[in-house]
Amino acid sequence: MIRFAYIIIGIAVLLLSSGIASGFERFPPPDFESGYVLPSPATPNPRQDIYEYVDTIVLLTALSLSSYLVLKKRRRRFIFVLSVLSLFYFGFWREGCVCPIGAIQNVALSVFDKDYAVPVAVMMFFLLPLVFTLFFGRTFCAAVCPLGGIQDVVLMRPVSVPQWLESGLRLFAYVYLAAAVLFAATGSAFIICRYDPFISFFRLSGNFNMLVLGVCFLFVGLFIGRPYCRFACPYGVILRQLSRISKWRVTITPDDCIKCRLCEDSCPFGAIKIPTEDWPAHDYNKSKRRLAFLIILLPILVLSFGWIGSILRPVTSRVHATVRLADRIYLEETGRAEDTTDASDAFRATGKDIKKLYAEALAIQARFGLGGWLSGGFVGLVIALKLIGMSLRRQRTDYEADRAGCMACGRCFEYCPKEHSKRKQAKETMGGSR
Amino acid sequence: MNRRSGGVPKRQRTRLGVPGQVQSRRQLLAVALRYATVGLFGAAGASVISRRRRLAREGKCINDGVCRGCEVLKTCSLPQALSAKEILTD
Repeated sequence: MIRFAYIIIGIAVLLLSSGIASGFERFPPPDFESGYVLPSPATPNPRQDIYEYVDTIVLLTALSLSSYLVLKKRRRRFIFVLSVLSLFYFGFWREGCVCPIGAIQNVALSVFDKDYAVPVAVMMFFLLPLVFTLFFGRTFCAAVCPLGGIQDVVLMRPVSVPQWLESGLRLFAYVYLAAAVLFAATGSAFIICRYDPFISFFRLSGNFNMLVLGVCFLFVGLFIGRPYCRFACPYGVILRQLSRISKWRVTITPDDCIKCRLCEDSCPFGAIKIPTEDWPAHDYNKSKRRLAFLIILLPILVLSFGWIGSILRPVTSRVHATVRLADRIYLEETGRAEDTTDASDAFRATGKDIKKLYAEALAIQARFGLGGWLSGGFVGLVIALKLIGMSLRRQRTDYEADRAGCMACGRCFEYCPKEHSKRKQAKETMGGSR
Repeated sequence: MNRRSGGVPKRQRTRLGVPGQVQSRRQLLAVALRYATVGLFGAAGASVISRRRRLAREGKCINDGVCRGCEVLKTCSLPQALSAKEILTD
């Protein structure tokens, strides 16, 4: 109860401080007569260059320490302390930028635009957690990610989410990733940064809607462990897949599992897999038929979602400023819009040819068509693979951490009696050696 | 061999991850994928550096117009760079 009160007070303080911070400007903006609204800054103010290197070194150190604490030390308390430190450094001190989640967009843009060069620090922030995940599992999520940290701090009374709902909600993260890559690759927008729900807290200022969204996520996070990480994080999608093939991974018990079931409900993220029962023969044959059907369905789903993605291009392409401008000019030229906007006035003032603008907008729309096929196809593929995965059954004899879903938070360690006896043994050995 | 577990013997499935040893087909695939991904990341990192060099050689901006701290500022003749140098020398 006391912890709950602290959390509520903490959220209230964050909310208030954000409100106060957004109300004060060092240099108050002028009153624009045209109704122009100052946009919210997408990135924090520039810092000294040395910070780029410092940040990279801190990230590398935090990742190494997190991997050590998760796989060797196996103590939840230390992992939590590191998580809070990371939250303060990468979140509140560095104001959440650069972050590996947003770096996806820089990388996507650089893949599709040969004239865009990703800053080296951004590339390091993108790659380092991925490489660590390949070898140690999701130790970045465990104690380095500030977004995960802020949600972990508020988690008070975890409620388990049914598997069907968890799988369904998780699809959103894949759709979000596909959309983020599409918009970044077409040079339209960096939506991950724009719709980051916690950035207002980290910068103590920002868009009010995003602040409300962040509060909503934190409120849900009181009862559902890390809702953003599980159901929305596009970087988490990549980490999930890499974690499946990691060299080392979290094991609930340091020794052989005695199936005491104490850890069964310890994971707030539903990432503990229980031992499987024997599979009846008739069920096995039924599953085989279902699997064959789903494999046939796979290309159909990929093509269907790809097609949906491509026909949505008139809508999605409007995120691009040039397409929006061309639309506006077209409306004004055909008399469907009587007034003009600042953007259309500015365009006319440049004296550029309208036909060229239309041609450019059409070319961008065509790119969105191709991008829609690819991103829609990706979503279709994910759905098909998820369905196939649900019809596969792997035999498990022990309680195991889900390789993809486990965020290596270390909560389950504390529930394992084998872990406790190992610690006790280690203590006694140390005491004896003295 | 157990047909329901992808041909991986029970003992091996519970004790995977011994360094330097490949114990099952699934693990072999995982190792291959892991190192292929590491290779891909290495190539991506190298391409970023080479692209920055190429763009600098071609006289294109590599820092989105942010000149402070740019490694090619001294030799850059783009308008932003000239303005930045003018301010920095004042």
